[in-house]
Amino acid sequence: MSTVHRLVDSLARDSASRLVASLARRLGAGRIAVAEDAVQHALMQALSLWPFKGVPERPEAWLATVARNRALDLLRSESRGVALAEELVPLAPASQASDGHFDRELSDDELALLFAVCHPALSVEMRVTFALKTVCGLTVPQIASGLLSEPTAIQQRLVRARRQLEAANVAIEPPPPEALPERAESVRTALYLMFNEGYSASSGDALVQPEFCVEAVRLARALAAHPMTAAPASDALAALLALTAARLPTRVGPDGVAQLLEDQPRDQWDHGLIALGLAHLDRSARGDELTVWHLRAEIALLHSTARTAGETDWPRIAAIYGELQAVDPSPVVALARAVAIGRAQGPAAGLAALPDLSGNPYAEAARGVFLGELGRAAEARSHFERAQALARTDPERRLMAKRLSSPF
Amino acid sequence: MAQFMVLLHQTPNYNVDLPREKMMEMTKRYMAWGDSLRQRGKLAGGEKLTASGGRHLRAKDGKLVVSDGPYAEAKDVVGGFFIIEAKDLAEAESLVRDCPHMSLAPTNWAELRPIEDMAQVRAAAG
Repeated sequence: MSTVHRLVDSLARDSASRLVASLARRLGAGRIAVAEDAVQHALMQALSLWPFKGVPERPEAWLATVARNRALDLLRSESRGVALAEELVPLAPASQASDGHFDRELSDDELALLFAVCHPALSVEMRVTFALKTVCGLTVPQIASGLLSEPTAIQQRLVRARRQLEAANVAIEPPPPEALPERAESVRTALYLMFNEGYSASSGDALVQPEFCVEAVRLARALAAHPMTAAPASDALAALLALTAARLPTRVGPDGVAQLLEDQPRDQWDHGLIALGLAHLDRSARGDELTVWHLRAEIALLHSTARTAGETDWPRIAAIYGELQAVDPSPVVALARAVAIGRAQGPAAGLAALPDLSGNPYAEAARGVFLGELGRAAEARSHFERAQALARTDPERRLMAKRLSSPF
Repeated sequence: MAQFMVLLHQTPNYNVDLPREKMMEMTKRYMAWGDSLRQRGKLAGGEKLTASGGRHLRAKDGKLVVSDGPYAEAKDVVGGFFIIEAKDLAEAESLVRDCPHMSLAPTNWAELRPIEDMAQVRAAAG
């Protein structure tokens, strides 16, 4: 029974994305939608036929054939389609299906597609949406719920993204060597945002969308492993995402309330992912490049390897956030740095370092914490109340409610 | 061992617009059921039928009348069938009980029919 489940899941996920990539690469960026439709059709055929006929001996080859024929049918309505028929014949599955989300290698087709959909011509939001849909094979409703958007809006964003790729004449090919560093960085930025969307969902009942995180880790690891994109920065990103993903199981407590890092039961962190992250971090140290990904990964490392919250090396973390702020300044980094300073040097120093971010629930909560620690309970309360009102997800709202109900 | 035909009745196309997740869920349940029968040597075959695009043929006043059918508007069509092996009707029924078809839609139902065993008929006729 579980074999059936695994097979269906791996076909719907891994085989489908491989096939979309393989078809899209042959059809061109303007026809990614045709490739997706054709593969979707093949998958639906498989799902409705196989219960009767049993699973064919080579399921992925079966899917490839049906998808190719469907693509040809869809293209026949276009005049240009006929010429493509010949090119499509050699389409065949690239490799065996694997059973793990994290360990599957990216085929060259998928890498080419990832580069295409993360093209710098597209906004970062577009890249993330496009990658989730086309490379990760998530559905529009899944993406919409994860990105706090309506399915129609996501659909429109995808249509615009495809048009932009077509207008920019982007080929689904790995970029030429001279363009590779810039393009790889654009992919890394998109994967980082994809991960963050999963790690801190921007709305809703759930604080985390593990699906997005799993996909981002998988792609980051594949990026680090592929000969074309293997680079210290790619390993650093993979380390950052794996180390952070290790804490996913404890982000929300069993009572549905968000858990602060210091309150999370560290024995429930995913130690397999921590080990993976450490391995990538090791490899990221080759060469003398120090990227923002290295800095972020080191922070994640310091959290993951502290045995207790009390043993966290806050002075070092504060210093790294300082470095990050210097090379890649942002309000979020400034806020994180202030929190680290507060932990390292005490609440007064933390309060002084806090950026003015009224309207941000995390900044309000941090201010509340520092004020509370300084004994200024009334002021603390007002900031927690504001944080509660601003909270974007239910688990976070409940965390603030818990804060407000306990004595300061 | 006798053979039985399981006719899967449904409203046409009840499952064409399902989202992929739902479709995957359905398939997993069907395949799990089919596999367990297959492994025990209880599944002799099966086919999925299209919901429309066929023909109905009838003789009327000595003339053959052919019409399209079933229609997508039909209330009830056979969406597919399985042929199963069982020692008797009771066993056949117990095998079909676990088939997910009936629980997937309120209008779904299964018809279990023994396949006439010609060897036995001939033997009985002596």
